[in-house]
Amino acid sequence: MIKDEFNLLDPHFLEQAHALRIVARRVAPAGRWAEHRSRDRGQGLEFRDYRPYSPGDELRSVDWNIYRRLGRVVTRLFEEMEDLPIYLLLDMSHSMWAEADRPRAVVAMQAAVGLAAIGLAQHDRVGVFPFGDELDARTRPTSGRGRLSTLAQVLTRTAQAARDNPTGTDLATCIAKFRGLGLREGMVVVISDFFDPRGTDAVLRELKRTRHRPLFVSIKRGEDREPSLRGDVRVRDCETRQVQDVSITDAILQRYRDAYDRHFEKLRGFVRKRCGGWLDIDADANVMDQMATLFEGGRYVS
Amino acid sequence: MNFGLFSIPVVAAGIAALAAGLWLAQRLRVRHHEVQVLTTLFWQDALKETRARVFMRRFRHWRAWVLLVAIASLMWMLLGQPYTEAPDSTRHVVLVDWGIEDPALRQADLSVALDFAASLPINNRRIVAVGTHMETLLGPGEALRMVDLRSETDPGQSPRGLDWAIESLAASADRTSPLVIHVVGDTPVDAMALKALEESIGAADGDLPSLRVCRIVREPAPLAPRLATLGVSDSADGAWGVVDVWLAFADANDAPPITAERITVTGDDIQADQAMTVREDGTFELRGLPANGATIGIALDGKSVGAITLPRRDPIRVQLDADVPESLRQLITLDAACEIVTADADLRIGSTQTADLRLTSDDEPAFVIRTDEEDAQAALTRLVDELALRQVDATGIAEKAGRVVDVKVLSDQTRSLAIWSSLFTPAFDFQESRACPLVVSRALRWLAHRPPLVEWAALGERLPAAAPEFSRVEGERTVAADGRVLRTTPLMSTVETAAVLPESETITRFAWFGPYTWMGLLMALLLVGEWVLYQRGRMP
Repeated sequence: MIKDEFNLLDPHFLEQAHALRIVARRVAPAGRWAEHRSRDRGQGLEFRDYRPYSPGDELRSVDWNIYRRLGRVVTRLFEEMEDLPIYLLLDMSHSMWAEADRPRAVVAMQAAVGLAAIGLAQHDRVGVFPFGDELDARTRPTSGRGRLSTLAQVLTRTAQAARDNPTGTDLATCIAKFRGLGLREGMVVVISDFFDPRGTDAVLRELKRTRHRPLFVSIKRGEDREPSLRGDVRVRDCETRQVQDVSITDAILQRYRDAYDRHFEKLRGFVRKRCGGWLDIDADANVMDQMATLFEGGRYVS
Repeated sequence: MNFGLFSIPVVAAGIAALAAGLWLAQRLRVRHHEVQVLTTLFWQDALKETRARVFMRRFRHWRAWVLLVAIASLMWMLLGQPYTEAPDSTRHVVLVDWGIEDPALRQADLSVALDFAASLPINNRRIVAVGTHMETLLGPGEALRMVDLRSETDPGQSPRGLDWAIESLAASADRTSPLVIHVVGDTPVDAMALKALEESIGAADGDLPSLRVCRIVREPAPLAPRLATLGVSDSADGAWGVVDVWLAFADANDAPPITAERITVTGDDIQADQAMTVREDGTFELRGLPANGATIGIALDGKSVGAITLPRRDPIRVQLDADVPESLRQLITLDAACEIVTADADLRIGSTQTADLRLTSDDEPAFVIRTDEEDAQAALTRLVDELALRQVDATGIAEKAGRVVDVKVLSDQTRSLAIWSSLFTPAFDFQESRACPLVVSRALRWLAHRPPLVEWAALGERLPAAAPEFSRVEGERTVAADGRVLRTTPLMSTVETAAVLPESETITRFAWFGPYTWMGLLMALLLVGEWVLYQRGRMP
């Protein structure tokens, strides 16, 4: 049993998660029974449609009233209730650990655990895929309320390794690898600071090829857009170790902010186009409160 | 810029100034304090250096400064290429003969001189062009490129040779250090004059070998068959109004032997069937050309290779007075150069005062020469030789005459010669001697201003230009196809015996892998190192 170093299974935190829900419009077929309406038509409780009888159909689904009135044998179809696969792509790169006070990786893990708690409570399958410059796909998606502690342990173990051996970020490659896993269509949640040195174009190119509905959870701080740096600064990238000399002035700062806004606006635009979701989480604020703004009362429909 | 103009301390001071400048430049550089950030993605977009330079902050990367100083110093050395003075203080003067009339050959010699001078100590070298006067093309301490700046310099083209220049340089040389004079090309240097010069300097300086004359042997010019010798001589049959022209060709590399059939001679009085004959010594001869001052051309395989102006040899029209002794009358009649006339004569011979060859009585000096030269006494010896008076048996005549046979030379407006009339009588043996026709013949030609026949001129031979006996043929010149001028002055080179000069010693230089090449490679290596360090953020 691994010690819960990052306090992921805080009871109060998990209690708050119980009030949150993720509603899927219509999940992909061939899932397990759960709470989301599926594109499958089967033997649920809620009537949906008729279709002509074919050999093999259960006799109890035949609508005998129609047979009596019209002499035709039809079968009643009911809504199938299935699960929504939730895939949590969790950024464990160096930039998520670079800050000494409350690293973003911890915040990201809390958000991941919160989302996993929501999903597992709804009988959805939840998979956690930590990534840095490579995707860790060793943990298969799982379901069941009791699996949360297992996921938390997996996350804790992965986080400890990532913290001790920091890596860079290669989100595009990781998404390509994730796509290659051939998982059932579901909701892919990317929890990251989205500071990929290769930029956003490659990431979005790979995301466009997936069938999953995206939800981007951006872990950020106010310093990201409004840096407090002034004067002549040599900024060193914590992941690539590249340096850039810059003499910071108001004009430079404005150009910096413009570049920052362009970067995230491109990601937001993609999400909007794919009817996905976007959640900004301030690393210095309460995570669950911020998640509630999106998921409380089933407000978020995937 | 060239370090040849700087001393070593100045070069070192330059490096020190560079080091100081770079140190100041380093201090003026922006001092960036390093901050680790999550990403530089946005800074790269916003990058712009706008901050003014900050002066006087602590210099943080002294190793970087040392690296830059090393690179700048190597550049400084490469640009300047300083020359370390050799302990040998021998001064070198490279002489280029500007008397060569072909500009291309002069430039070729100058190139040879420059190549050689490049190997000499920069402060002890000098290149001098020798023409009518000496012109310094490259002075001590000057870069070779200075020669280009003086390309317009013209010391005057004159075939005076180099002896006088060597003598002048030796006379003006500083005796405290040896002087080596390098002669470019094959211009002859008079062995006797050189020996005398070396002896005079040696006598003044004891055993110190303060003068040495060497020769820079240059590549021989690529030879095409060319005219090497061209001359004109008296007709072999003794006729006065005709001359023989003869010529010789220089051997060309791998060229077929030249035959008489390949040579053509053109001119107004040249007969088409006039045959070119070959002498025993291999020269070609064309006989019996009229000596009328015409210019004839020489062509080899139809291509003109030269031309020569023939001398004018009109007969000397002589008027004889009635009192001219019969023996003298016969001599003049037999002389092919003379034509006896009764009027419009070039010369008059008789006992009258106006006669050019005046026959005098025995109470006057035996020979009275009136010359049109100002300094008659200075011309005495030469005139005695020219008129062959030394051939006269003066003792015999004096014994028979009972008085001294003296020769008197006077300056006058015109030339004339007075001789005892009795010398042409049986009273003296003179009329029977071998000297008589010679004296008469020479006297008639001298009186009639008929110059001695120009004999020949040749490539590579220096001809005296200023000697008075050649002034008569000034303007008559032969131009060879290779551009050199063959003057039709008698080939009496003042260089009786050309000195065999030792070959100049050059300093072997490794042009490709000398110290400066290594400096360049090292500088390139350091620049690459600097770039790598800069890329890794190790350079401030």
